[in-house]
Amino acid sequence: MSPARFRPCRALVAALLLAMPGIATAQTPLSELPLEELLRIDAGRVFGASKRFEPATEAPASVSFITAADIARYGYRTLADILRGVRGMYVGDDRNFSLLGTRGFSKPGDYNSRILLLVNGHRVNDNVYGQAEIGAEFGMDATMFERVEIIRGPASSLYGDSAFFAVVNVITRSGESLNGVSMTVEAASLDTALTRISGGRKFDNGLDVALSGTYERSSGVDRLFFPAFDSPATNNGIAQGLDGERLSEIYAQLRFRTLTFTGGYGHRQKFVPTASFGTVFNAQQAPEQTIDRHLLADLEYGRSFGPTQVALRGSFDQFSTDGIYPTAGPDGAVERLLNSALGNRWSIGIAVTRPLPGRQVLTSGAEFIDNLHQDQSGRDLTTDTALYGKNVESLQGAIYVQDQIKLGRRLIANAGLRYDRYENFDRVTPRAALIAMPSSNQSFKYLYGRAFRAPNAFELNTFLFGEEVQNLQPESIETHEVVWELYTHDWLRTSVSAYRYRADGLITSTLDPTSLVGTTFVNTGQVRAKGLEFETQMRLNRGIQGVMSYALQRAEEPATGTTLVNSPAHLAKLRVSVPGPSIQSFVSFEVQAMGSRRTLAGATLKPGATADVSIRAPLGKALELFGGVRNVFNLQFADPASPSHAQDVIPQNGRTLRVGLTWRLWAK
Amino acid sequence: MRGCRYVAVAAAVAGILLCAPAAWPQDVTESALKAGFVYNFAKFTDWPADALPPGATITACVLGDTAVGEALARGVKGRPLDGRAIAVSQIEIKGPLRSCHLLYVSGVDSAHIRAIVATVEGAPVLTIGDFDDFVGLGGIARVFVDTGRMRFDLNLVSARRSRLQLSSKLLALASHVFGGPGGKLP
Repeated sequence: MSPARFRPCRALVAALLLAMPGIATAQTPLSELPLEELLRIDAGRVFGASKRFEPATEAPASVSFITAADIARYGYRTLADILRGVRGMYVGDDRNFSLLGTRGFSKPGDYNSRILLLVNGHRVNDNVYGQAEIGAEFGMDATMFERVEIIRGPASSLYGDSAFFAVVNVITRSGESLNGVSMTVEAASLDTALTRISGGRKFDNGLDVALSGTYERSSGVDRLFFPAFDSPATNNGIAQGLDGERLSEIYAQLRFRTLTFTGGYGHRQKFVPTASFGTVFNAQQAPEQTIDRHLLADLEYGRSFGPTQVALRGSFDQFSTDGIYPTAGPDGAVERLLNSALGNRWSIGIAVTRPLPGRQVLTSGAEFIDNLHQDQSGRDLTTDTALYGKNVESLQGAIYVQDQIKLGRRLIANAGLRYDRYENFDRVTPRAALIAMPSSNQSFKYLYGRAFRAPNAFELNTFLFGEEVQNLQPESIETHEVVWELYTHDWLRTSVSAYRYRADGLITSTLDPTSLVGTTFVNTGQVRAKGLEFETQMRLNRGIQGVMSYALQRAEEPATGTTLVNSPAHLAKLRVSVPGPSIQSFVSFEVQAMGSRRTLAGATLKPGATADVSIRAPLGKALELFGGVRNVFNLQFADPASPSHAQDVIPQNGRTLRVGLTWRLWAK
Repeated sequence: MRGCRYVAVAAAVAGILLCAPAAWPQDVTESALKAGFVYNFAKFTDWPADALPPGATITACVLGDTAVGEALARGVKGRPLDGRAIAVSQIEIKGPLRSCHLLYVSGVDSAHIRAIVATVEGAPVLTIGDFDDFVGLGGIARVFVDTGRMRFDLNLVSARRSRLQLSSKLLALASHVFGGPGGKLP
């Protein structure tokens, strides 16, 4: 970190803080807003913090939301785009997957297994790698998101596995929300084209239907230069035309009375230009590629019996992936290896929420998961012979309880406990919160939580990593956090939070000459971290809105006292959306600055900031034009590579443009 | 750092944009938002002249939710409705409910709601609540959150029984109007 270099970024924070008193002088109170405006204001309720809707001020966590309106205004295409703009989070890209960093933790080579990703409250991390897929590989189009809730801190007391650093709950759109049929075409830099048809309606008999289909293809960056491969034998380090991506996404939701069915299927093929996993660089005949498929079928039944709310849920998830790797054969010819995984599971759950005497609200539930397949296999495609196959199935179950007690008018106590039973171990995880609200517009929270992350089927693959991995234990984390939230003049929200966590037994890759691949996993990783986060959000006259955040964190290995790899000390973000020249049009700006990060090889990536601009403008009644520029100033930057890469950093995209048109074919 | 210089420029631009004469307050707590709706319901309701003579103060009572009471008190301060001041008071269930012009009820169960509705029966009290079945139990307006936003239902039968006239604007913006022309009862 070079403080001298970073100062202009701090100027951002300072400039906006100075600007605030200027805004404060000319406010209209909430009660003078027309009713139509009041109906558009977000009520600030969160579901994922307690498995029931509650005001964010009363939730036992520090929470952020992104709404469908934000997604439209800022032109977000994926969950990765959304999370990149969220306080304290950062997203790296190894040109294969999007990798989320949170609270200073994003270990290169890990696959987002310490974030729990939910769709409408239902777990979608796969059951082979435990991965929360947040890029295009997620398989759902961001325009189908009604809200995204980001619930910081451990939440295993409610969700079990993976709710380690944060929970991200995507709430998808209903037919009533879509209310019409529309068709979108879009063209962008890097030879990118997208088409989407979506539609939805709530019928008079109460049936609500939402449907959407998206197809997108992109050639990616035509020529990518990697100095690590800069030799004539490997095309002087240039990967030519190997960055393409294709994706198809289908989404459906049906609601009728007490039943909600949500279904989705996503297929994404990504060509990988980095020659990761020791593959042949610039293999034009047999390019390295990853295919990810996600299927979700989730049926929920929810109804009230008096004051008691009951939700029953049955779901089937299937995830499969194929990785095709060109490797150098003994005679110098390129051979193709296939690595595949298939994971699917049935899950059933019940959650009951009911008020109890003494101003209490009790939420309790049980969950049962049958992992039918957690299979991995390898195949030599050149000779069409199987290399290995490892078929696994497992059962797991859990019960949990959470109680909220209002102690007088100003104090809320909240405590939760969950018991998880796996075939080889069990875990009990607690969470507790004390929330004081000295007045109706501010709250202080003290939050304590523990969480675990179970070893996943990939890490437990004895064929690849040796018999010892059967002894892997779950990782654990313990977090303390204090949060202060202040709502001023009904238009400004300010939040400050400070946290400290200790994570132990982190599953870490280590050399092991006796295993097939030469590495194994052990429970040796430890992290001690503390951080301070500041956020201010304002929504102003004429549809102007803005959010600014700053996060300072230090995450280190206690044994050496060194900061983690890929852990920036500073993250500063700003996004502002203002009305455009025509009615209902918006121009939105987003700036994200990141402090320096260390790479695996020990190099230091300089701090940097990228800026994006998006516009939306209706053209008449039925058409809407939108477009944007990403990385407006064409900053050349890179993310740290993982141990599976020969290169130390992976260059990111420069300036890209996109433009599109939405045609509203029918609106109610 | 080249990028950082642009950040400073962007911050300055943003600062200027944000300083533009602004003012829809929006980023709010749920309580403040509920108070905003309560104020608007009062704005679009006509009380019978015997209950609220011209120039008389509107008595707004809040039962069971201090935060909404405080937000409402803040919101109505120095902001009369058609020349009428609004006095906000926190009230208990055994309090003088019939003397309220407007009564916001929260955090009580259905038995208490029935009792409250029975107590104010025939009196021109605009009852508002956030309980699921509030209008079904005889309340006039129910506020609730649906897909992240505040919505409201109205019960015209209860309004008529209380001799209150709700404006057509209110009816048009409600999610459901029970007991209206052609409308069904909850």
